[in-house]
Amino acid sequence: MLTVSGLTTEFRTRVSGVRAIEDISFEVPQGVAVGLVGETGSGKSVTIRSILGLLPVSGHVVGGRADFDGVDLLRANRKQLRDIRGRRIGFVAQNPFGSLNPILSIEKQFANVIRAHRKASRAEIRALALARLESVQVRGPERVLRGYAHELSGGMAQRVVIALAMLHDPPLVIADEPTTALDVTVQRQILDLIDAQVSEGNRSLLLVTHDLGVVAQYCRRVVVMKSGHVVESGAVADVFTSPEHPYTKQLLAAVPPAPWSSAAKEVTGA
Amino acid sequence: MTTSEAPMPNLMELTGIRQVFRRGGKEVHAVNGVSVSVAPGETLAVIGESGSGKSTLGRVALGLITPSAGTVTFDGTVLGDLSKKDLRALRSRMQVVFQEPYESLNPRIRVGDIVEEPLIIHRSGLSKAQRREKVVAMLERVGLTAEHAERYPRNLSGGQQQRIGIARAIITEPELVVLDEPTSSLDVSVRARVLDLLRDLQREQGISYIFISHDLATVGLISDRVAVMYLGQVVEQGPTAEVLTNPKHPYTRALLSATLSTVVGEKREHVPLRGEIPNPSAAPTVCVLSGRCPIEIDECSTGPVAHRRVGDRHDVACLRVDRVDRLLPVEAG
Repeated sequence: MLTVSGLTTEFRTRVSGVRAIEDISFEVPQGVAVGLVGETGSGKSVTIRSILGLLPVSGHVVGGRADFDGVDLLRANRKQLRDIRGRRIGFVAQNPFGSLNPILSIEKQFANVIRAHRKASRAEIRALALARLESVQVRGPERVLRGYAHELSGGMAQRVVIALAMLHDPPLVIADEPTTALDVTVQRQILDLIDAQVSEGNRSLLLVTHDLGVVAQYCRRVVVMKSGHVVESGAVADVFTSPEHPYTKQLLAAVPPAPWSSAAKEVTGA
Repeated sequence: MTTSEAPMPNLMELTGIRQVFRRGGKEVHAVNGVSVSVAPGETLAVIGESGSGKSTLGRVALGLITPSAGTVTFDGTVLGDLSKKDLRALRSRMQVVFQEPYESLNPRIRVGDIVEEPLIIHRSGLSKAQRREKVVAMLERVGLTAEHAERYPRNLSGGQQQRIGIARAIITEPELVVLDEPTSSLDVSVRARVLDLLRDLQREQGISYIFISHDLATVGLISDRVAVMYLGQVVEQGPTAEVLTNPKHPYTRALLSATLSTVVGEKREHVPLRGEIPNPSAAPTVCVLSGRCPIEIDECSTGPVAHRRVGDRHDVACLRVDRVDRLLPVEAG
């Protein structure tokens, strides 16, 4: 589905260049959820922004490939990339309020996303938007469509972003820390929602997160990044039960076990 | 972690605390009748999501804001009775560590001066040389070196910055430290080491902590007792091990089920709460979870819900305590 190989990105200022990620290679197979984990500064966000062509102006991809749909995304022109991003890859960012336009009604934003890739009447747009809002369990979808982003709670706004990302039924979904900005009890709802939307459509998912629990419970494969490099990757069942790289071991050991889990009972001796 | 010992006089008692903010003509009821206490050398965790009132409660405990109602007692003294001067003297015995280490450190001041500042304010008897000596000893105690004293905060990592925040807080040897999400902005590997440091300091100096957090797993590692806050109220409180393994409030269960295990395949059944946290624009007159609770009955929305004792120092504000176990079985053994 998505094959990244040798991806290397630099940030350049007038005086110097800094290599942010180097020789990143991984695959996202058809219908599989892949977790991309790492701590602050590991380069996980630079990796997906390189793939999606969303780097800031100082960022430059200097090597590698990212093959998707028979196209190398790193060499695609702007128009190709925009077409792929909207129709073939759904993107869910960390902050839903940064993804939504604050001065357009939600209905207008649905219209823009739909019309960017095909013709549609106002009635058609409305019907589709309502159906999609219902599928992501937005309550009172008519009211939400008439309203604006600032009237939504964080969880509701992220549901709207997910509905927009899924509008063209993309075979690949990329989510960058989609629940980090949300409250704990809402995080699970959103993860379950993304999980359901992805498995219903037999889509692939690339989930960027710093939370190993999210990877353990929602992903089948994992790519572990540190300081701009991939240090370990493989099936979640293997990597989490017998990590090979010292950094992966250290990372797993550092996470306190969920208080109700079997691991917590070993710690407390209860 | 301590188990139940002989009763000790509490170092701090918060009784019937209410805090109402007025913002643009609207009222925000941040804290609604909270009573908690901390014994010497004990860690009380206050856990809740954003808007639960946990940080406001921390500021009330420190005497940084005067509560709309209720009393704060520190070592037998009621904070509200004190003059400004006496309150200031008392405050040297309490300190605070904030969530964002960088934002709570003055970027233009060298690390050594940041850590020294509380000594200048609260230990005016010390000479400059004595202060410097204490600063270096403190930096070394939190895992840094004398060399760090000459640096500026921006030249340190997040974990090192938080160590500076901790050093500044404990250099006056306070009896109580309010830790407001001290590890939430740190990466996991750094977080574990900062928690270790906090635990060691507590053991050495007998400090009491009020540990404010939204993360139950972290709280399980560091606290003796936990108070779970929702919409300005404590819905459940008790010994940490008891609350985390035998939670009796539907909200605590929802929080617990939201914590994902890193053990593959150990995905816990999710306790669903409908919708999201409402705005605290009015003091709730019925159960705070009413409207979101999965096991709600009519009585839940007819009046306020009193706390009832369900175990050793374990209190819960829920009419449906008997049904909570059916909501989600806690795994045996």
